[in-house]
Amino acid sequence: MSRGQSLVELAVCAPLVVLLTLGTAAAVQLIDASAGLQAATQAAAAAASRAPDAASAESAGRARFQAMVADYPLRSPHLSITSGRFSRSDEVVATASGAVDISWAGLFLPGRLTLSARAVVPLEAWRSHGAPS
Amino acid sequence: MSSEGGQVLAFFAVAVPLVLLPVAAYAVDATTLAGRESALQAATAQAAESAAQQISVAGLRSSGELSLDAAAAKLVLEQTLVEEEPGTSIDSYTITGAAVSVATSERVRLPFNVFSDTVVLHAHATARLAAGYDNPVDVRGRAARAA
Repeated sequence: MSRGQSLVELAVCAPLVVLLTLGTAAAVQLIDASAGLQAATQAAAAAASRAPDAASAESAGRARFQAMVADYPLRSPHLSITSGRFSRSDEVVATASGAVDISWAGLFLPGRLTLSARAVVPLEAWRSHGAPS
Repeated sequence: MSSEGGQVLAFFAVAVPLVLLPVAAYAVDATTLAGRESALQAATAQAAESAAQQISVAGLRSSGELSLDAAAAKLVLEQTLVEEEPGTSIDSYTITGAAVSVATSERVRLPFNVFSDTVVLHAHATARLAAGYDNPVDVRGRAARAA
């Protein structure tokens, strides 16, 4: 009688504990990915701002972004970099997005959440900004 | 035997609020804090780099040496931090010659405040203005076109 009752109690309580554990892990993964995406976007914009021309800025920013974002739980990360006319007063604007897959948690939430980040860094004023055309 | 009934329920009634919920909340707090710390460090580094570009044109013209305009550097330092990480305060900064060194701090409110309501984060960054060019090919190409 007592053994059976314990089993029923466990059956009632265990899902709560499992839900709590999975929810915590999913929340941590989400926060970690969000911070990582923001940091990678900021680093990409900073790397691009040090380039001598727009084409180099694009490739330097993308390389930095890919290197950083690989360490975070992000799926299909995407980065776009704009730098205006790449003149001395312009800014590098990096906009990134990426998805976090939390479908493994099986919660009552969307299995895939899309995050986005944006960073703006002014071009370094005293750097050569490409050859005049 | 009947006195053992409800033991599992009682165990969970104690363990969930005393152990599991605080552990879960701590995990979220710690991750949030780590993210904010990296953001503060990035903002501080960005502020130092931007400040290190405030060259003193008058100093360069008079002595031929690179040095920073201290007033402009401080202004840029403050502006960059406000834009990048609002709520950050500058603890100290030094501008010596062509180098800027800055120490910042930020009071972060934790989402679940398990052990503490707020935490103060600190960051430090140094940047230096350096003369030179980083792409000789561009310079040669430009010189050739100019000729």
